[in-house]
Amino acid sequence: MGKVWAIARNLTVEVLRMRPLMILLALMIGVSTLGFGYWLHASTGPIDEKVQTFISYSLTFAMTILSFLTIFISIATITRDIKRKEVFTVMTKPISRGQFLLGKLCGMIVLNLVFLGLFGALIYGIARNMSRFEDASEGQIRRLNELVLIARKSVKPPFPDFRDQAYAEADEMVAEEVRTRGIIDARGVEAMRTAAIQNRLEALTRERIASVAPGGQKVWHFSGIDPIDQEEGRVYVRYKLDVSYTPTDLHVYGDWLYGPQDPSIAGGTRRPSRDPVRTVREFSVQPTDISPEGDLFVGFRNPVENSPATIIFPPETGIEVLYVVDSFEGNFFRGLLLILLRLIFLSVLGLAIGAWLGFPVALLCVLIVFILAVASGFVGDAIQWEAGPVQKIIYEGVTAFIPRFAEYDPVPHLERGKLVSWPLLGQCTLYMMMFRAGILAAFGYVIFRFRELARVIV
Amino acid sequence: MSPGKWVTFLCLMLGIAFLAAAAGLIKPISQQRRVYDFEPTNPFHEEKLIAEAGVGRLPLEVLTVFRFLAINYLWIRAEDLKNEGQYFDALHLSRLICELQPNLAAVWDFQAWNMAYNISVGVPTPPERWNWVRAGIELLRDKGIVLNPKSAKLYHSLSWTFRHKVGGIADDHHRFYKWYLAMDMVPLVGEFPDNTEIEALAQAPTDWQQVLADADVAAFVEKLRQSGGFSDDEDLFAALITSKLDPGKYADPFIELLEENVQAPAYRKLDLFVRSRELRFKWKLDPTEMVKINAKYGPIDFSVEGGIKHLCLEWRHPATHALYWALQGLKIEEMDEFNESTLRRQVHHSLQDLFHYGHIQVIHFATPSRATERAPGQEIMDQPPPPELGNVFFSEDLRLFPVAYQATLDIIRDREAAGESVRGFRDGSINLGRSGVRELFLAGYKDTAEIYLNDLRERYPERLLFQVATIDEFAANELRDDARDLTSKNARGYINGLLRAGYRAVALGNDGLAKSRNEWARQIYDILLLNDPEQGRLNLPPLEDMRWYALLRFFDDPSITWVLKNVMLQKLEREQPVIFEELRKEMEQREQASSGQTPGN
Repeated sequence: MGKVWAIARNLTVEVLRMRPLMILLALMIGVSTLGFGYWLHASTGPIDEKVQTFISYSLTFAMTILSFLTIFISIATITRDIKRKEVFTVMTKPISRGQFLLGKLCGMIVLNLVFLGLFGALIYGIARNMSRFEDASEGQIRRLNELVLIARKSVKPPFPDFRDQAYAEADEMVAEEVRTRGIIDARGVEAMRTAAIQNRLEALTRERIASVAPGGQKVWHFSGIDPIDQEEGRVYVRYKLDVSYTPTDLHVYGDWLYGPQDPSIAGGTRRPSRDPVRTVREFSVQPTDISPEGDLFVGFRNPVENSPATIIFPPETGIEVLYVVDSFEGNFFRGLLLILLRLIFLSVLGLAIGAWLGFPVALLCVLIVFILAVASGFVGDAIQWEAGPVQKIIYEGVTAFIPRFAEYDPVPHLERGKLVSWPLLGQCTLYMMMFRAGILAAFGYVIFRFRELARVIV
Repeated sequence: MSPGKWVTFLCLMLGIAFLAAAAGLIKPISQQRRVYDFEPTNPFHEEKLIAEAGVGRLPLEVLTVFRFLAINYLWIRAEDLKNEGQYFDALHLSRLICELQPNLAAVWDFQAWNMAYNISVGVPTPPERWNWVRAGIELLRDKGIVLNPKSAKLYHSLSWTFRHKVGGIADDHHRFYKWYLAMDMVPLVGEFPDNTEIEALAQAPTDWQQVLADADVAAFVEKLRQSGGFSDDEDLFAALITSKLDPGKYADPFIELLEENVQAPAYRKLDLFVRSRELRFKWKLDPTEMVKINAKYGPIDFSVEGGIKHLCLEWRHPATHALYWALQGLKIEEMDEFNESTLRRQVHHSLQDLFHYGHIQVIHFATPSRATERAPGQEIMDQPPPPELGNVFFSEDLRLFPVAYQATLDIIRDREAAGESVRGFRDGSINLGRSGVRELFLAGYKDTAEIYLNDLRERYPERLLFQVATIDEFAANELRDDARDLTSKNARGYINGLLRAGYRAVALGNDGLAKSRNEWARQIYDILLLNDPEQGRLNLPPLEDMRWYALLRFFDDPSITWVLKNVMLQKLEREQPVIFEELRKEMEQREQASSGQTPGN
């Protein structure tokens, strides 16, 4: 282990001694945290949203900068050693190639810990203390502490799976179209089927799940609500209303009824509302309205005053219950761990490719993988709806070993006060680290193990 | 030469060839950009405009193709943020999107609409909402139009936002928007804007050095700087404007100096410069243009005989701003028919709005720091507390009927000349003319009413309602139409409503409207009595009694704010002391009765 640590320490010290790089990094850290924080302070806006914006951009910036730094250093450290033949001075010592690579990886982890720690400490400090320098109202401070600087877990109502029915109905529709219009082009039929499935899924969702006609009502059952503070509770119902007919004042009335049992039978706490359409809204629920087993029933009645507007709760964002399960500090820490895992993956990737190729080619390869990983959410969505089956197979094959960073991005969670859970971290460790990074590391080791570093000249 | 160098050389040559080929495409691309109006301004001229607008343009060329990726990403993120309720971030992204697509008018239009209409309703309090509505207006006015001066769509949207969002009633907090706008405009155009003042603003110097060339002004400015501690001229300008509404915000010596010099020519000159500058730079309202608009569309002074004299428009009113921007849009050359038509409609609707709600009364102008709510349980006869927020009231302005009516005629004439259908416009013009003639007649402007009736009679011979011998006959028919549907159940309520509307107009200082409502009530009363042969079936009390009950109902009506009731009391005390005394006694008796006391106790 001593040999590994020696290499790690060597790399760490070497990088930390690069003064221009450190000055540049310090400038970037300063500008993206202190500078951005000051810019936000000078602008007009509510403090909760300023902190949200600060967390969002400063963490994203930190993640991006550290990702690039990791890619450059991890590739450079190994390719430069080989190119400048400095690797001979190490490899001629009693140290295996695996230990050499592992040492480099440990060095990268230490460097990332240092840089991420610096970034994290500054971002946390500013986010926590920003409100002290603002002329914020009590309500805004409350919103900041209860909605942003917190860790809330989300519970959504069970969502019945309509897919089989949608597929069946779509197939029927397509068959009818093919029969009546005589379409024989396979691509056209497939495109029509995709559109029909989407159409039926949306229609079934709208019709059966998420819409409340004027005078009608709907009850959702949320279970497993277990707030950290059983006395104070701090449980919130978050919802967004859409409408079939947009009223001129863009507002609709609502009548909420909630309690530990189905309120349409057992009654419950009533809350009349008047909300803007297509806008996120929240209200808090008392702990007494939740059963000891963690059940909450939320009913919504669409008053006839809204007629003719049917109120629609969009499937993903329509309604959820949020409850506090941890502090911002714990959440932020887990968020930083997620970022660290991403950086470790990039270190492994950089070292593995660097052990095989020269600096420019390796850099190009890693940057392509990085961009695909970052854009995975956007590209995945686009492929899902736009590409044909062959393209989808190709995309899935190509991206099988590319992690989807968007799935493990802590920023949307942190900026919205949502929980970065340990299971998410575990999932990230399993899929990104053990599966993908593990394979990459093995690949890098094998390449480096058998690579001819110098030709023997007799 | 080694093979590697050959390859390098070949690549270089290929690169140069591609570059040359691309350069050949610049001309057709530029041509296309001009066709699609992507390059509406001369770059040199644009630079000047941008500098004036204070727009910091992004180095778009540097972004090359990534600009479009960035635009896509930003649109998606801005929409997500809006959906999640993160409006602060969404606002900045929207501005960024606009700056990345500066010459696409539709982008500015969409983002401004999003701010003023969609996002604003998502925030709960009036000041926060106003910030969003104002942000939408500013995005169009200060940047979108500056960068796309040929886009009629942007002028229309700006005009629409003023007229519909701020001037309309669809938004829950529309009263606050009107109040905020009025509050912003009062220091600039005065509490009672008139032509003389707007002309003085138009003639004010536009160069600061020119103002300072006057030794008296320069000395006064120096004193102001010292008394208020202003090192920056911008701070001084801002202080001169905001101190009119909120003097407590500034050092006492500064305010005292202003008060001491309120009649001084140097202060007047400085004040005109600062206000004119604020109008031009912040509000983008050119005082010279305002003078012209006043001269053409200002309300008519009925007291002038033998000619038409236009008074000053109400520049505190959102519809006036809507009118201004629609007229600016109409100045664009080579506008397509659709855009021209929509802008003309804006002019017409703005003038109609000014006729229907153009009389504006701001009572007890208060800044937020001084405003309080009346304590619950306090009665209107008590000593009033400091004024509450937002006492801006709107009522009909009869003086604008002729202008609004003429605007409808202009549209009809233009459309007829262009061979377009005028059916809807004719109906609109007839309805406006009908109500205007009746209102003018009831308000006592019989001669003016007759002129417009004659005009309507000539223009629309097929409309029998105008084919009457005299204006009296027309008015009688109109009132008979009103009275026809009245029964014993609702006749009293109808008259009572008219009388109370009259009292409200009195409180608002709208004498023309007050007179019209009073006269309307009297004539309806007379018709009802005439149509009641048994003299008693309708059980109507004498009109004087009805006036008294209506006055009492005015003070009982919870929908009328205490501010208006208080103004009414003050007016009565000043102008009708007998009625005031009777009212006071009645109120006291009621209060004693409600507290269980009798007058004798």
